[in-house]
Amino acid sequence: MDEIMRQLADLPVHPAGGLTMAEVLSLPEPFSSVIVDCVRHGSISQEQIAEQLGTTLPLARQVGDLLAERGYLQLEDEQDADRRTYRVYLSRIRPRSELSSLLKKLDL
Amino acid sequence: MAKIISVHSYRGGTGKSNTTANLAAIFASKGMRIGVVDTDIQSPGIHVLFGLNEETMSRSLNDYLWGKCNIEDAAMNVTSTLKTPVSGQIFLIPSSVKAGEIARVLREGYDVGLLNDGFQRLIRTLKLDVLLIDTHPGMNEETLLSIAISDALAIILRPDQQDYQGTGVTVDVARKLEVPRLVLIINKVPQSFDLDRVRKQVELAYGAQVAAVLPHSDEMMVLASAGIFVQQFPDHPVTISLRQAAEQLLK
Repeated sequence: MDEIMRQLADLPVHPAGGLTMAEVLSLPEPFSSVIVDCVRHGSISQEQIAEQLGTTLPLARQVGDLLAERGYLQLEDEQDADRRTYRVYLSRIRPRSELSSLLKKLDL
Repeated sequence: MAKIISVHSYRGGTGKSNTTANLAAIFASKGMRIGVVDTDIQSPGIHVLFGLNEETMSRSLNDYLWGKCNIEDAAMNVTSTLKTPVSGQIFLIPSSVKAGEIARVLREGYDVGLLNDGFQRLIRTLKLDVLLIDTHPGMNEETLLSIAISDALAIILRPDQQDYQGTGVTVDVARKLEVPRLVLIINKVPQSFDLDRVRKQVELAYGAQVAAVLPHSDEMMVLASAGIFVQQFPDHPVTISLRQAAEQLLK
């Protein structure tokens, strides 16, 4: 978990305007998986983050809050103090922007 | 619980929309409620297979993305356009075929999060069993989103070197996006090819299951998107293979 928190601290603050899917893909693990899971289900709870990272609820909350602080997730409006839920804010896109250059960066 | 199935190909002209429409008809023939969303906003086409045109389409996905209507208001019940009655229902959410509207969405873009919310809302309001997403070929933001939110992804390819390489990219992306089920459908295979050998080679190359190998069909060419193949040719080898693919996608 220390390594995850270190990686998290190194993540750059994402500029306002939302994430693109290509940016989600280029995030380091385990953050990419957490955010993909959030995209797939519409939101991700503190419990789900804990399950994905194999950690405790307080640490999962810390991860969720830090990802929100850095602009990768957003806290859902109605918050239970003990059970936080997060959403991804996806950016506006232009369909014509093909991703060949971005895909090259993904090391696939 | 509803399943979201995306049908994608790296290159155009692989028969993606045709396959999607046929899968919809197969699922509906089993009594299921099916939504079909044409997310190929730049070059929409699946509406043609259901006998629709610019005049008969009142609202489109574009209207929803511009906040003019709810997504379910853009859904057209196309079940009655099928040649043979089915016990299920098919709802099509077409993309606009008006040149000005295609140009507008290319120029201004749209909120991709709205697309994601719209899929979930469609499943809920239309009580869908399956939501089929007909994607734009290649890799772009909406394709990545469609793949990311899918329970199953069908990648269509032809036995062609360009398709093979492009499909490799798509398979890698799908794996990175952790799609729960990934199958390949090989289409337009020359009849002189050994279909079983093609299947084995492709499965070995990608480490992914081939759900169907569809031989080139003159009947499909002659039909020319003027109807749903599996309904017109219920006993054809292509229809039998498509039914098998449908089973695989629902697993």
